[in-house]
Amino acid sequence: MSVANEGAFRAFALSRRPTLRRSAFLLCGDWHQADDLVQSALVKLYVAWTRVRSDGPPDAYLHRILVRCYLDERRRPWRRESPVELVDDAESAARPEEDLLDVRAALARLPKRQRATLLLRFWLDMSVGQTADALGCSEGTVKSQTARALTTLRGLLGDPVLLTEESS
Amino acid sequence: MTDLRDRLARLLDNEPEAPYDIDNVVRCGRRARRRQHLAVAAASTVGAAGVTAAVAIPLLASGGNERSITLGTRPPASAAATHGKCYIMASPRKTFKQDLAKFIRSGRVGADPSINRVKTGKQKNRIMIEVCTHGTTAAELAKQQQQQQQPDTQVPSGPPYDYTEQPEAIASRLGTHLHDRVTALGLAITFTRPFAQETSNLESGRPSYYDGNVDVHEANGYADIGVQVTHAVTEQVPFTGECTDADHCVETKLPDGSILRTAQVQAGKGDVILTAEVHRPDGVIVQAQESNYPFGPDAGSQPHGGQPLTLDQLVALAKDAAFTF
Repeated sequence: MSVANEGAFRAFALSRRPTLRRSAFLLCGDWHQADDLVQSALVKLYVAWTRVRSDGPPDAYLHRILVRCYLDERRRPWRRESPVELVDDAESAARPEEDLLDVRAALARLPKRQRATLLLRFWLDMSVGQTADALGCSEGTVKSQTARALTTLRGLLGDPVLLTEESS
Repeated sequence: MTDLRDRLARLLDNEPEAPYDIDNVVRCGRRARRRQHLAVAAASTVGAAGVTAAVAIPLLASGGNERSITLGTRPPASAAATHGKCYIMASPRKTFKQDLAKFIRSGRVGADPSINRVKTGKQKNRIMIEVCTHGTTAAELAKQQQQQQQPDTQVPSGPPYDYTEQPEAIASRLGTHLHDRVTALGLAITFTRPFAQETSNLESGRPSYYDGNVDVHEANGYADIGVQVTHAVTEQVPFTGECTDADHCVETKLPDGSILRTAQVQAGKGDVILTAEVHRPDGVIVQAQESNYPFGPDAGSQPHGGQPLTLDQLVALAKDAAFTF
């Protein structure tokens, strides 16, 4: 890679890494694992940088790599669908961040592809088409995965806002 | 979806400081590019078909130094099962003999491999050889692969695997079979996540394995039973990995040559996943899992507490020959 290309990569990686790290955390629910995912995604981007850069802004490509790294990681059977450690009921009732823990636990209960779909659609604001492209599936699958994920979240969180927003 | 977005954002409030080191990313990227370039260069010596299937496997890399690098070409699907494997090995002249001996000891090509020298051009200080299981050459494998692969120039990478059924038909068949097997055991299914082809290589969209599961309900609560089916040639799904005591993993060789692994994993407070995984001689890998808690819309409902299937029933599910594609 030329010096100029590497410089462009460094600048791009530095500017996107904070956002990428947060997305990774929302995917996996663990900051250490998120850092590993970001590292893997950026290394893969480096390898493909020359080609990707010539195709236009590499943001979509970068998020696609991140999701792919996450899905591959989560395919380890022992980690599939693994929920986060649940906090003790009495302890959580006394803590102000109870709601946050609920959301985090609810997200952890989602199957990996549903979780990735939610993140791409509602955190990264990708369209159905862009999400389908990132996940390598059809738009219909994205819609059904989204619906299932929201149904599960509603069941776990009991949140009517999720229901009303889903139809929009 | 403003509410969900806000809630997600609040999860990030206590973000710890990142261990940022962009130089490390660049260093790793450079190494990855070098491996990729070497892989392509080596694969090109065994024919064009080998290029698309080449993968870099640092088999002989020791302690992080790059003294030697071994590059492998993935054999075609049928060849992997019946005709052995070939590897391209590049090594410095000084350590070539011991590297080769070490590679043979690894057992990847058997004790009596076929070895052929490959011309290395400018790389005077390196020796590159083709190491194959006895009686095989990389050229033969590449030829077989060319004959078996359908023209598919749209897919830049991914394992060669020809489906004899449409992916949708496979998913439907697997889903129906799991449903029938579970209901035959007297369990009430409350939720079905249809089998779907999962993609590891999202750039090509090539399917690598099928995965489906059902939530079941008994008097004491909800639980989940799932099956994943893949093929060893894809090497896309890191299944069990190490069989460790920590997971109560037990490995058994079955009379038909299959390898059975059973294990138990603590997935959270009170949450337990039991797994039975069968690696069949034909390369198909079936993993049956059950958890004492549900995954689908029933997630959050009263967990079953126990497992819905006995271990024998779970093993029978994993051994079921109908789970294949």
